[in-house]
Amino acid sequence: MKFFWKIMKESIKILILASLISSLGGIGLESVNVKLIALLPLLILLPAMNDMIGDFGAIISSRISTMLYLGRLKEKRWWRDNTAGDLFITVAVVAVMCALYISLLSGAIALFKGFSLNAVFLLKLIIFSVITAIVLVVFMFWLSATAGFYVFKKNQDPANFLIPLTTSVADLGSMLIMTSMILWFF
Amino acid sequence: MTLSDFKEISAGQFVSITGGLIAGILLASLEKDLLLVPGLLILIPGFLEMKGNVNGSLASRLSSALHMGSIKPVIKNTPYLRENVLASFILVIVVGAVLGMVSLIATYIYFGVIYIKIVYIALLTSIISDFLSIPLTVITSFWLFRKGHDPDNIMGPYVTTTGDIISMLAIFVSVWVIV
Repeated sequence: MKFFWKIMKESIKILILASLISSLGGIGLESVNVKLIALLPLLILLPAMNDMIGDFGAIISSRISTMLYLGRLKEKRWWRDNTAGDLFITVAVVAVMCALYISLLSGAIALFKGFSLNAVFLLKLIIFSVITAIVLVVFMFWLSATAGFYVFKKNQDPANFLIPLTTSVADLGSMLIMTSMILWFF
Repeated sequence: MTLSDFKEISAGQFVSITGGLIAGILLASLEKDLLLVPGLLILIPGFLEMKGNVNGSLASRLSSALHMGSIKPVIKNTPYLRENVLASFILVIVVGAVLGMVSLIATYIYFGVIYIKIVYIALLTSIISDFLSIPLTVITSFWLFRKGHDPDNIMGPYVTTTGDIISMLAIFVSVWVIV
């Protein structure tokens, strides 16, 4: 049972920590739940936004884990590395495209469900999605590489640590941004 | 990073976030329960997060092992595969229980409400979603690798999407059974 115990030992703490971080975002949402439920496009957008940000966290972390195992990423000035740079550009471009897509589609679904959507609301939704995506992709990239080197040097599997860490921080970030937007802009 | 990476990442992402929107529609259909079940909005983000993490890490471990040639892309009762599946299964239940407790405590601290059923909802949701999402993760990782794709590019979005939809359905069933 050596794999089982290794996975349990390396994963349990970070998983609990990651889930607690996400639950903190949930507390924020629970505090504005009446408003959130009334703003149907935001309610529909919420899982897709978390999904998208979490996906980018998983892709970035997973690629960095593999790069570390294959010895393709060096700690010194890693941000100047071509492979890391290309990965960042690819993820950033896809992130902006996805943010536009989910904001437009969630607006359309809400409209179809009877929500009275206007141009200003839709514009706010798009701006919120794009800004959230860009800010969190930059942050997750830095976090994945920094934490990845640290964990790898400690002879642990970055796959067990990085994905929970980046996705939960991204989740918290997106929910905090969403709670703030509900309070201030919607 | 090649054009094929861009295609794999963007295709996977578009499918994934469309799935996320389906989860959003399911969430919108839980509208009344979100108001009636205290702590559900605290439980849901943590639960979706945890499912993505457990299955994402499982897929990432399998992918690294496949790339390094430590395992072959076939379903076999090997110690590596068996223990990975078992660990993922137990992790979901343990962390699900912790999340249920956290929702219970947070609801009491922040809103002054004690609702013990939120812990049962978390546990039942963990068990239902485990039985569906873990086999899907293993089968898809192996299938993608056999077809010449890099599971690292696709499995992240895939597990979070399937995890979100399965989790929302499992929450839906659990709320229906318990409340």
